[in-house]
Order: sequence, then C-alpha cells, then structure tokens
Amino acid sequence: MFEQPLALALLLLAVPWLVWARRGAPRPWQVGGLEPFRGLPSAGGERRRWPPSLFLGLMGLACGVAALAGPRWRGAPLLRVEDHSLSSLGGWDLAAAPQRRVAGTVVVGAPDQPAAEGEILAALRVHGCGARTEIVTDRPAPRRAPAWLHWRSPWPQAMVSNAAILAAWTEDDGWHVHWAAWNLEGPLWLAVEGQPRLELEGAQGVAELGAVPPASLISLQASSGQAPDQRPADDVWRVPGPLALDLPPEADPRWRAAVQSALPEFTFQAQAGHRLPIRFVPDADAQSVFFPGDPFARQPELEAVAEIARGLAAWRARWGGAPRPRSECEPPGAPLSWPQDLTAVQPVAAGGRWLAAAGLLLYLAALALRSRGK
Amino acid sequence: MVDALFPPEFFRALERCSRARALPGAGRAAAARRGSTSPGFERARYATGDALAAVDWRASARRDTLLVRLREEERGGELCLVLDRSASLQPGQPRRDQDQRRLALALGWLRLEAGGSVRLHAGSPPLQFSGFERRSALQEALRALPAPQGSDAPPAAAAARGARRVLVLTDPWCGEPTWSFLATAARRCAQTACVSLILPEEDTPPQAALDVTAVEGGGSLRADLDAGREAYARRWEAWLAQRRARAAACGARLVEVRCGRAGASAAHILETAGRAGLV
Repeated sequence: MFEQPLALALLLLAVPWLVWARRGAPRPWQVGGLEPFRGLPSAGGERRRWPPSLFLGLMGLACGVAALAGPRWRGAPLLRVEDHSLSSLGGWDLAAAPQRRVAGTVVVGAPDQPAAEGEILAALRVHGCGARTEIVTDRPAPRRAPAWLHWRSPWPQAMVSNAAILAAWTEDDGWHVHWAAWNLEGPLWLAVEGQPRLELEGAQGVAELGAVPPASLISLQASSGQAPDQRPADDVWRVPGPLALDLPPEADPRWRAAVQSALPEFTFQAQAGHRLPIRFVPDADAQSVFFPGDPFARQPELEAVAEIARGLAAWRARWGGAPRPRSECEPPGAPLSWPQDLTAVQPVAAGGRWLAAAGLLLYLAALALRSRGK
Repeated sequence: MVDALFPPEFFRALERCSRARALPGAGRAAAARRGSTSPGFERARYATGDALAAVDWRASARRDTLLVRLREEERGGELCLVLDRSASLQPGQPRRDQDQRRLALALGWLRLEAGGSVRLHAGSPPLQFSGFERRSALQEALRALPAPQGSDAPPAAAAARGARRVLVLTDPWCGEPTWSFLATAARRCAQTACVSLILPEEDTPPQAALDVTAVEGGGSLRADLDAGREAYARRWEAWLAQRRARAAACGARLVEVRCGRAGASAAHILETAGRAGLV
C-alpha cells in the first residue's frame, strides 16, 4: 500500500495535536436547568467541541503523512527501466513478465553495447522515476539502493558460472575464436555445426579453428555435448555468409582474379548475404570501400593487387562480427555503491505530490479558520 | 453482597436517628405510639418567618435564646411522600437520585416505626404502606423505582387529602406543576414542606469553560465559569432565594438539603437532613 509504511507512524502526531487543541475547549456539563448560567461570560455561544479547524488540520496531516509514505496501489502505472544489454536480453521474456500498466519505459544498453555502470543511475536522475519505479536488469542491486526502487532480474537465478565466445575473426590461416570460462568444471569443446572440433584448456584463450564454412554455427559445448551453462546466448557465434563485392561497371576485369587470389572469403555472386560496394569516386555511403580510381588503371598489376588486398583486409576483420563485451559475459562481482544523496533527488510520485499539495492547502485552511476562532 | 443504594452504614445512621427521636427534650419525648392524652406544646428555635405571637418569652429568657411555641408534633398519621422523578434529578451522575430514595426511606421508615402510614407518590399508581413490618416493602419499592426521566409530573392535588404531613422531595429545578401541587397541598395540610436536594456541583460548578446542557427541557449554552465564577455564585443564590420565596408564597416550607459528593457515605444525606430537622 505504501512504499515507506514506517512513515505512517507520523500519524501519531495527531494525538498531541488533539490534546493541544482540546486543552482550552469547553467541557460538557449537564445540569438540571440553564437559568443561573444565562448571562455569564461566553454564554449564548453555539456549541463547538470539535472545531472545523481541527478537522481540516487533521486531514492535512493525514494527507501529508500519506504523501511522505509514498502511496502505492495495485495496478497503478509505473516507470520501467529496462536493460537491453546482451546478458539481460538472454533471459528477457516480456510475455512472461507481470502484466502491469507501464507509464513509460527507459531503455539502457543494447545487444551490442552494454549499459555503462552509471547509466541506470543516470536514467533514474534524469527521468524522475519517483516511488513507482521498476528496474529490470541482470546486474546486482547496488548497495544503498533506496527501498522505493523495485530491482528485478530477468533471470530466475543469479549468474555464478558461465562460458562465452567473446569474439571470432578470420585470418589467413582460418577462423580464430576468443573464448573464456568462469567457475566451470570439466573440459570445454569448440564445436562447428554441433560437431566437437577442438578441446579447450584453461580459463580462457584464443583457439584456431581453421577453415569454417560460411554461415556455420560455432558453439561451446561441455564434454557431454550439452551447453556448458544456463545462458546459451553467449555460447554461440554465427559465421557470416560470403561477402559479395559490388564492382563499378568501369572496373578492370582483373579485379576478380586479384580478389580471389588475395582474399578468398570475398565473392562476386549477387545472391551472397552481405554486399560491399566498391567506389572509385567518393560518396556518402559509409558501408562502401573507396579507392581513388581503379588501381589497375593507375599502376602496374602487382602493385594494384597489393593495394586491393590492403583496402579490403580491414573489412575482412570486421566481417566476422563485433566482439562481445567481457563485462556482459562475466558473472557479476560485488554490487556497486550508489551515492547516499539519491533520496534527496528522488522525485516525488505524482500521487504523492497531489497529496502533499492537498495537505498543505488543508493545513493553511485550518490556520485561517483558527485565526478566526473557528 | 453490599447494597450500594442502602448499605449497612445507612441503616446504622437510620438507627441512630430513630433512637435520637425517642430521647427527651425540646418536645421530642412523645410516645412512639399515639396515646390518649391531648397533644401539648413543644418549643423550637425561632426562624425567620415565624410569627412573633408564637415566641415563648419565658422559655426564651430561661434558655437565653429565642424560642417559639409549636403544637407538639403528634406521632402517627399518614405521611404523603411525593418524589420528583423528572430528568433534572439526575444530571449526569446518580447521587441526587440515590439520596432522594435514601431520604424517602428514612422518612417513611421513621413514620412506620412511629405507628403511622406512608403514601408514596413516585409515579402512578401511589403505593400505600402501613404497619411497622412494611418497612422492607417500602425499601423494595424505592429500590425498584425507574431512573429519573421526563419532566415534572406531580400527582393530582387530591393526593394530599387526608395526609397529616406532605413532603415533596425534589430538586432546585422543579417547575410550575410542582408549585401548583404544593399550593394546593398546603391549603389542605398544614405540614407541607418541599425538600430541595442540591448537588455540590450545583453550588460550585467546575471553574472552566463549560458546554452546559439541560437534561430536562433541552437547550444548551456555553458559559465560562472561570471568568464568571462570582457572577454564577450570585445568580445561583438569587435562584435559590427566588424558590424560597415561591415556596413561601405557596404556603409551604422549603428545606434545602445538600447531597453528598460522589463517593461520599450513604449516611451523609441523613446527617444533612437531621441538621435541617427533617429526621
């Protein structure tokens, strides 16, 4: 019902208030007749044992205390901060999440870009989450996190062990895989299309797999052939399909032979998965490879082939895919400490603001009535 | 189990009153039973309103105080007890109700002991008690009285017919019906008296701001008894004096009896009534 139920204890302030307000109040007194009392000081006034100012003041106090306690009611809208980094999305199942009315969603991180350490805290500060805030992330709740913050993990259990392929790239001698394992027992295997190919030793390393067919699936396996951990998203790596070069019409016919001899991963087939345009004049396409004119038209054949190999080598390295951040695959360490002044900047929930405003108005009305003796 | 209304200490005090009435002196030596001799005279202290012709100058000279000669009160005869059971008898606390019933029992008890009879009017129909052994029945009848409620409802004037003595036990708030009854009763019976039972809180109410509510007749007002303490005392005394004058105009004697405070002994009413010459 309330984020800070202990704050409701402040309602006990009403007791001394009542005692103070009733201190000078008239006592009820029953008599047989009124005649001797007529004409005495204050006689003839109307009865008011509980003045309206007292009622208004008590209502103001109740509103203020309720606002301080942070009212929360079931089904009320809340603001959700979602961590869309790789480690969180692996267990993220929105369909299975509790169906609540969400007033707004703030996304931090991305599958290829982990959320920075202070990004969630910055989101809290910027978006004014107030008392109804839910944070969904696989990161451990920080120390000194305020109680009004709901910290929910997309995973049913915290990650204590894991194995992951951090990066994969191709070189002249074939595919290389950077892998790591934390707190796992037993040998690990690198498999291609589910078939174990290379046994891994140690806690991490770079394994040389050799030639791997395009669009193959490289994966980590336990000795039993099963996934080595409960989070398989980072245990696999998809080898991209052939990269097709898109030559300009005026390109020299020797381009094909040069590319096939220097960089055999490239092809000129139109149906290949990725297309890489070759340009001899500058343009705005960042995904194209620029050469200042056809190399075969500017220099001898061997120098032209070398220039083509240098120009395409960087694209070959990027072709394997972006490496995974180590922090996304490593089991979390000790939780961070949040600054203690977070509660000072904690925005007040909308309902709490209205309650606080109503309480202030009621209190001012009580003061006005009391000044008039009511 | 101790009876809160009529505890043993009350009956011990009543026994003392009964013995004191049998002691000689000041005309109190009459026989408990009505004799065959003619009633004589008795003397009492002079009180304001007594006729100068009734002063016994010789006895006054002997006693060095002013005494009046009265007809000796004959024992026996019927005592008509009229109890005002209106709501004003019990404004919040039951002390006056209890003391009224205790005083009524004491008066009736002594009358029955003296060989007389008692007619009790505390609502309708009236109850008649006659004979020494009927004292306990009177006690039970008084105990069974309902709580005070409503307004003044004295009996018809004919109720006083044939009574040797008429006593109205009421409070300082009785209204016109009671005065009318007293005036009629005083014309038919010489010994008609109105006993006004006064609570201590009525003499000295709390010195604070009060929301005063009348239990009989309704109405309320606010009075600051802290600032108006002396004004209240004057008004209260004027109110009592007005009622004394009204009783005198009716031909009845008004006796003011102070009730005990809450928690006081049940015998307190007998002591104050004894000082007022009622028992």
